Amino acid sequence: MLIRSESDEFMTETEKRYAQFIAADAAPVFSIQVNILSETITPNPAPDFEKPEVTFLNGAERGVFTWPGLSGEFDFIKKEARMRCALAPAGLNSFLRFIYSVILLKEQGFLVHASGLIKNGVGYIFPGKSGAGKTTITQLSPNATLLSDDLPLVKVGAPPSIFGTPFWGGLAVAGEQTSAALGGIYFPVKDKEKYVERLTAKKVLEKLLSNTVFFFKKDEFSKQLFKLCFDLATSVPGYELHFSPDPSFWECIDVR
Amino acid sequence: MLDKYVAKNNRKTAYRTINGEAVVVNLKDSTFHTLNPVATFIWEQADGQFTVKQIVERICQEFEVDRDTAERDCLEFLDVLTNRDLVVLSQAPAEGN
Repeated sequence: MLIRSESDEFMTETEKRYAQFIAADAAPVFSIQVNILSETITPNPAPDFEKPEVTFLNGAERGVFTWPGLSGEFDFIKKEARMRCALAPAGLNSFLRFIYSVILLKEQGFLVHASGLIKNGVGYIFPGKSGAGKTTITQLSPNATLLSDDLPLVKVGAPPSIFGTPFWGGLAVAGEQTSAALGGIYFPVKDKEKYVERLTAKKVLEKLLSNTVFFFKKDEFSKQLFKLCFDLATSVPGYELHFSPDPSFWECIDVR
Repeated sequence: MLDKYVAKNNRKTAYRTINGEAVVVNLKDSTFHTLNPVATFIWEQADGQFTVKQIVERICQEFEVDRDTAERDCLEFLDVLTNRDLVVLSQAPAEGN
């Protein structure tokens, strides 16, 4: 992803924000020109990732995107976008998540609301809505590699894999730029006891759909995303992970 | 109602069946619905080639259920599906199947 702006301050902030994911010599798959509306630093807009307004024009390749404090146009044929926003990092972040969500579909990948970790070489995701315990899980896992505490990337292939992203939640720390084969999908449930309960593939699909962002309002993208969720739910074992705020919940996972 | 043909609204839905139970997504509002085995059976019969009455008869053949119960349950389920725009009812069979 190539990001350009005439605002030095914006570029400095962006380089700092995405430091672990900057690849100076990689060929960009998409470019974004950012125009800053005001050099005054404004508070970040509300983290309302679920409700950006996306309107597609003339099919699925072009359209406009609006979000609190941000507007932009995108063209997936030309592989470019223009964005106008205040000097607030969350604006670019929201736009990037949308652009990546579309681009990733062609790579059999999607972003899922989850924490993602690698432990002993095996990747795990812990999907859940706000308050489900995604960030808590990462905080209780000092010996695991953090991929994201909010929005890791999952690719459905052989084998299904999980990748780190710079999209974070309450932890406010970017994940590592690394990946691993996905060994299990664990839906966290805060409890007094710790145990793991195997879920049927149908239940895994239901829960995955609840934690996947279907904001495209574009049938072909939604169909692709639905298929990827189905493929993942039927190829990777899923569980409910009942846990209390104690790292010992890993004992339930490690024995599998 | 019983003489109408039932077809999935393919432009607005996507679905997959896992172990005999379907998960249906409404592409327009991104809601999804999980179906039990009987509802899945009705959903899979809804290809535009069968009337409601024919589907009720097939339910009776496939599941151990009396006709009145099958008809009531089928009509209730189709009412939900039509209200959510997931199936369409028509006087003639769908073309192209």
